[in-house]
Amino acid sequence: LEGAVVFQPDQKEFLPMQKTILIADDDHELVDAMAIRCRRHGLKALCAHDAFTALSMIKSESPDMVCLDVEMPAGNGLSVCEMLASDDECRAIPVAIMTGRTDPDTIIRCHNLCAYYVEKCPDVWSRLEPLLTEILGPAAAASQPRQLHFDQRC
Amino acid sequence: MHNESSRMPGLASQIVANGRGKRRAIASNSSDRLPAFVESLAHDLRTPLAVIQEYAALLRDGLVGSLADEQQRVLEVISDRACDLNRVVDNAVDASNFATRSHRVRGHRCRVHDIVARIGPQLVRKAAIRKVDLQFPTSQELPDIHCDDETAGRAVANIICDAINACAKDCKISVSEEPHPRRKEAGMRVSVEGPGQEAVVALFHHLAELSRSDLDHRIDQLREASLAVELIKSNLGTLEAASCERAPAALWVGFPIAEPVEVLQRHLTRISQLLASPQKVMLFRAAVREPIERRLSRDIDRVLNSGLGRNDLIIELDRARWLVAVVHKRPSIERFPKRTERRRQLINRRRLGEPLPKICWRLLGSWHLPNDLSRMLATVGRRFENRPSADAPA
Repeated sequence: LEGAVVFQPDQKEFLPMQKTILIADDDHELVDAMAIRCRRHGLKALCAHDAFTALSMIKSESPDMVCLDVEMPAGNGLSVCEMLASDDECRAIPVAIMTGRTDPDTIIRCHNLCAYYVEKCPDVWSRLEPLLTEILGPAAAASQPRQLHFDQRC
Repeated sequence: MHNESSRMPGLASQIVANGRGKRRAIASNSSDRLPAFVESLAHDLRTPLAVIQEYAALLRDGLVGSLADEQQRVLEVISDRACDLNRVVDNAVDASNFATRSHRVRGHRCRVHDIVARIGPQLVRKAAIRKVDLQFPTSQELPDIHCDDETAGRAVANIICDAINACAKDCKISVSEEPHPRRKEAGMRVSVEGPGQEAVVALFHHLAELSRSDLDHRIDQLREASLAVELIKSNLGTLEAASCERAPAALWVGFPIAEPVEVLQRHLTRISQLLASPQKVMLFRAAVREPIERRLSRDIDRVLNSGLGRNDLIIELDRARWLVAVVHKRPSIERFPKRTERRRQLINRRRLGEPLPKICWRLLGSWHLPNDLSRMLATVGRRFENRPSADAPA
């Protein structure tokens, strides 16, 4: 619900309801790093490592945003995007395609599908963060520096 | 790239092992497929580079524990070198595209400040490691420019990185955003003063010299400096070196102001130089009737761009209108609008968000290049300049 609040016992205060992002990439380490960044941004991060899991998690969890790699096992991120477009329940979910491909065909296909294109490069987070802010709102936890651990991985 | 794998046995075995080898091996069999081969390799390199940088950044930002100063410094070096490698990857892709003449730059309306803001952090990090004083003086409000901000930013970053590497410790480099005093251009002035300045002067003059020669003369030596120059030229930009005794070495990198006459003139002059035979230019105005959001406008811009040929040009007049120049020996009035409409319908069938609105076309006329250039520019100036922009806030 828009504007709803949720009580988080560990933080002992009421926070706006956490928005959810699904990150799907076959590179586990990159997904872990992105998930840590997203949690720091105040989001609940869900992770998938193949297209099939990504699609089923989108249907079951209805995330507020999806971040997909192009080349993944069991399918292609752009194909997942096409399947979402044909599903009335999922077609409103914003999708970012995060890929190391920079060829015009991939970029054009992303935009034609109405997906955001994010180049997977060394400053990938600095490219993804403005998108998250634009789509899901500003960082909720940015004012609270908090140490995260890699055992919080997906 | 014939027998590329036989020259790199270690790499070849890895390629075959990771399951994408077949596609890459097919690509490497033909020099025509060089860009596809390099792009595939670049794709596989970018993910580990992103992981290295992200993990270093997580440590650096204190998200997985606090660090001592020396540990921070080590991480800065790791990040800097990851960015260097990424630049090498980007340069390899650009070089292969230039070498096979498949490089395409799609300009759009953007701001000098956004380009500087994007490349700034990596340059500041490199300068700090090299103990060079890199400054970005307070910027002044500049008019929008017309270029591909991604490739233009890459070219400027390459040049400033080279300048940082060339000068000595405690040298001062200043990157200021300025309008050009004479031309309809806005860009960056890179000034260098201090120890090692002579090497930077030589670098700047070398770049300016390269910008005056044709790509054909340097196609076999597409190195970093040459690539930067070519990227700036393909973005209709200019480079100028200036230095005198007791004055700092300076390099001007500028791009055309986003005015239709200026952009069209530069593009068609460049096309006339590149193409020996006379061409015909057909000008269209593409427009969307209903008011649209910025993102939808960008998507239409991309649909229009994706249908253009190598020598064609699209200029965003405002959020809902575009000027399209189709350059061909025998351009067809029908072909481009019909093709775009077919593509729009196809896209809307599979699009996640708001459908792309219908695009209305108007033919403004056709002219012969290079003879009718001034008449054509006069027509465009009368029709599209000195009019209030639809993009202005209501």
